[in-house]
Amino acid sequence: MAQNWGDFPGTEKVKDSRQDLLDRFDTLRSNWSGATAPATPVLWQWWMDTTAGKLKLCTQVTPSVVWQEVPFGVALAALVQTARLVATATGLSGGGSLAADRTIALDFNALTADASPDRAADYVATYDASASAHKKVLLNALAPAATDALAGLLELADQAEMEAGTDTGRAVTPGRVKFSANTVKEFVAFSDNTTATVLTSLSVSSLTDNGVGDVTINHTQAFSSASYAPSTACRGAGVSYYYGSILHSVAPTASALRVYNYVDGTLGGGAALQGNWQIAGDF
Amino acid sequence: MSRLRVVCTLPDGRVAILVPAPDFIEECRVGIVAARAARGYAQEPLDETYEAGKFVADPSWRGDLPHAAREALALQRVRALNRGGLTEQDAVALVRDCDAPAFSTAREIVDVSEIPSDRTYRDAWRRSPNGGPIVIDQNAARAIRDERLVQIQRGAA
Repeated sequence: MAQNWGDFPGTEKVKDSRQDLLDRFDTLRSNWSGATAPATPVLWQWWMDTTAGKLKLCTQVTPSVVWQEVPFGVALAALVQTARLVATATGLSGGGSLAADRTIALDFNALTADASPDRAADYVATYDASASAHKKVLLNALAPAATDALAGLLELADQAEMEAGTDTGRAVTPGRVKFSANTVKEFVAFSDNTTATVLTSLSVSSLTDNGVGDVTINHTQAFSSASYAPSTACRGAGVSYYYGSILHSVAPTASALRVYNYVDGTLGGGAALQGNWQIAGDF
Repeated sequence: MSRLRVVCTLPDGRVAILVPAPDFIEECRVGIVAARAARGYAQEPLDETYEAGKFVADPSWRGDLPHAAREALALQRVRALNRGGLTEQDAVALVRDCDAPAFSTAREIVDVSEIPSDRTYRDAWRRSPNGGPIVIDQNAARAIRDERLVQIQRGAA
């Protein structure tokens, strides 16, 4: 036990102060141990109260001296108030009382799904390696719209856009190529001798045999108007000239096209004839 | 290749014969998407309202029916293509109902063997508005024969 904190005046020789120095070291080493509190303590001075068997810390000197006990045999965690918590908001996990070690982790799966992300207003978290900093990036900037010079997001052209044929910012998919006004929408090859027969076709529901060389091509899907572009190449036996035609008096309609097949200028001509028609236009 | 045809009588007594396209029958049987995929054509399901609306908007298409009936028929046609499930007979019946010339009568589904294979006097074929067999109108046939003789004589001269 030592609470010796003797003074050594400036006039005293060092060799005469040796015992005072040793006493002070003992006092420090023993944490001012003694049965009574040290007189005139300074703030944050230790005192081992040998009467109570407790280590105390001076936490106040004015207006009065206050000694607070530091209990032995208690983990440091016990000194922390259990009411103190690390709260983890949505997207973080691992929170709880500070009475135990805590590991805070990201928990993206717990985040609320954004059913309608706004590319012009919403952000995603990123790490900027060049700046060694976490940052946020606007969705639009992360995945910009594609241009002639920039890879990015593309919308798909729908039927109306394919038919309009003016949009240069949307992508064409194989299933919608046929909606382009430049592609053949339907075709049919048929024989017009003996019994009329459809040899092959696409998007043609039936032929109407109206008479010699007079056939109506009925469309599986109606065109969006009667303005479409039929073309033909007829094939027949012998050396005659075969050709198909559309009469001015019988205009095409959106749902059907009436065609006439000629042999050497005569409708039908009575000879074996194969009409091959294809039509481009807007469905 | 279907052997079924639709025979109908035009208002002037002439005969129109509908020849269903085999591909259309297949599309009605398995659905247009599957049928065209089997042929190598990419096809999306049809927009039923849009596709039916185009037929209804065409005044020449089944112009002999009231508007409501035309709408229902157009929708039935597009749905058959989208959903499939029709037999060959059903598909040909759909062709009969949708593609037959307006104001034609006695629309009958027949086997191709019931239609004359000799088309020499095709334009002289006549049929009753109530149906029945196809007959050759003798006066019209003579006119056709005379016209051909004239053409032959012109060619010889």
